[in-house]
Amino acid sequence: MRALVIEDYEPVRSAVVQALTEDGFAVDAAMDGRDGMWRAKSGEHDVIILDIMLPHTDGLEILESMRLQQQHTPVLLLTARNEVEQRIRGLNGGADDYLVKPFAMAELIARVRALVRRSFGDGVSIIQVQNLRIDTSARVLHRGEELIELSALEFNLLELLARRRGKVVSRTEIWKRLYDMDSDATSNVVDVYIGYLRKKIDLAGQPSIIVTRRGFGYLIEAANS
Amino acid sequence: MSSLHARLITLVGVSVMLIFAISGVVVCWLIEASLWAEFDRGLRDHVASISQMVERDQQELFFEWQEAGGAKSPSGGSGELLEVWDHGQNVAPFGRQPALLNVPPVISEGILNVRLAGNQPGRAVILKFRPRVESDATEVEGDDGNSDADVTMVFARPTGPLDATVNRVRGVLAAVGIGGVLTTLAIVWFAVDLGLKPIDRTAADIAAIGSDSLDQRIDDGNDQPWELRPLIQTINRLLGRLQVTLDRERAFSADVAHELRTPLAGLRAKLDVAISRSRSAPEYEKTIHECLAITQQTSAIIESLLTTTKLTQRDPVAAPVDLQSVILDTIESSGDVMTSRHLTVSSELPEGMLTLGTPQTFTMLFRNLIDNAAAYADDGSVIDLSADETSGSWRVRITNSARDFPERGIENVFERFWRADSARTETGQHSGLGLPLCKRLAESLGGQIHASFLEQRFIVEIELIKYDV
Repeated sequence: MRALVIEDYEPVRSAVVQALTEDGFAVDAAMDGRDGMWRAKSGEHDVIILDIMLPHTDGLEILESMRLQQQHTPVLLLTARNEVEQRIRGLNGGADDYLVKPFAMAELIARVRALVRRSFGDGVSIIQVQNLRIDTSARVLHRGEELIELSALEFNLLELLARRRGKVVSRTEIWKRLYDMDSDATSNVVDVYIGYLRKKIDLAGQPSIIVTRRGFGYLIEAANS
Repeated sequence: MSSLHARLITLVGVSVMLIFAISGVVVCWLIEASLWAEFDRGLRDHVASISQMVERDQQELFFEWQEAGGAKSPSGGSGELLEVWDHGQNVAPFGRQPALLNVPPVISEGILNVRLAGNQPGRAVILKFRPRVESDATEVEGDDGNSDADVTMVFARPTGPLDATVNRVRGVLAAVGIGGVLTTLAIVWFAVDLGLKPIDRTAADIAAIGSDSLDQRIDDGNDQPWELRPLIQTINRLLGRLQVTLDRERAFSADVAHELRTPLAGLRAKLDVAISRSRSAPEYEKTIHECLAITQQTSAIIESLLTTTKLTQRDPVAAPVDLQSVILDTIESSGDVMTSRHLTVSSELPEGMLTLGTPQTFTMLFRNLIDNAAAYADDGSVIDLSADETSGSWRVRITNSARDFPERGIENVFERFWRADSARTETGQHSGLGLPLCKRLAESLGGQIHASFLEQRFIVEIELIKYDV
């Protein structure tokens, strides 16, 4: 999953970026409204954490501008002000959630994950794919009672394909969702991680759970197909 | 006496009592005088009529009432006394009591108070006259006091009944007076109570206004007595000022909360991340340093806030200070910021810029102004500092380029927590307290500060008192 943090106060920005990164997100960051607006409108993020008081362009302006352009990336507003009017304005302006500073980082991560889940059309945190049980909250994978250990990137890749099950996800999109803008990784790394993942989740002698559609991308079949 | 109610009642009550007392005394005196005058007139008339009944024949005096065969004297009234003295001889002591006058011939005519039998008080009239001579129809020459008047008649009558009447009159007047005073006091009590009702209503209206309803105003319309209207209007104006002050303080508190929440959020976020998993010693050390930096920023904000709230009076230990050296020292100490942003400082400051204050206050003032200029100036631009003398003051001007400055914000630059652009750089470094602090500092030094925006340049002018050696 890829997140964008738009926050001008460096300590909060760097801490949120670090927490999301350690939770498996690819994270981009912007330190003012102008840069944040440009990044937010790229549409490459699964979730945006947006501060309200920002230099140049404030967070609510960014939000309104995104929604006017039919850009529906989930947005979690952050603010140090706790006035009801501002919360109402933010939510009416298209925000999906709201968090007042200072906040517990675990709560922010949980809310961000909930927003991501809802953006994929299901609010559930546990996804069942064949005999695999993917717990996106606890970030653990089980086959029956067996715990399968995955790296953060492998888990993100599996979660992305599982949430889009039944649909082909292109290598470019996977790359965009798993890596931030500052990453120097190329899209070939996707194939490498698909290989790692298959080794961990596929059973010997069984067809691979992740199907390759040559020229298009990768796919996890939906249960009824 | 603190109660207006009691004051009014006492004042009116005492006034009414005085009026009643004086009126009562006067009326009583008039009635008494009238009664006594009437009494005396009765005495005189009685004596005059008796004297008509006295005749002289040769040397003898004859009394007509004796001739009529009556042993009863004309002083037959209860306790009355009649004496007739002829050439010093009491010739006809009528009455049951000793002679009233011992040496009557020397007593002149008139009316006097006497003591009658049984020591009862009485009033006597003395008449000197010349009686008619029998066979001579000459009229009595009574009270003219001439030398021929050789008969003295004394007639006395007890004043007991009159005294009783006077006492009754006094009693009635006193009762009427006391009753009148009490009735008046009751009416005054009621009237004062009624008259002060608008004050009670206004007091209740004022009491109903709390800190959350300062937008309410007390009715000063036609229902209110005109004496109260100026007071109500003054209270309404006071409420207006209170509301403005309270709104400003609430906004200030909200701003303070916001400014302190931001670094607090940074601290918590850093600490939350640090303890979310096991980390290496250098990682913990890095977090500790970051948290320390945040606490230092927070301390600076709190210090600025405290300074702005403390600076309400002029510096009590003012001494001559050389502005030029203070400003140049401050510029020199800002070298790192200037270098990092490629800023240049151009200063034209005359020598001998003496003013009054303490060096620390001036350093704080110019440190904030130069830091503000350096923070908001465009990269690579020039900050101009100049000064001149104007009507007994030093005017120092600090100018920096500020292309992104919102022109309409020039009126707000001295408001606490106002920022030209939310935060030109990072929140926490510029809290919006610098220029408000400068304003308070300049005012505490007896000076003034102004800001203007002209041709994309932000200009701050400070006027400080010129000190003449």
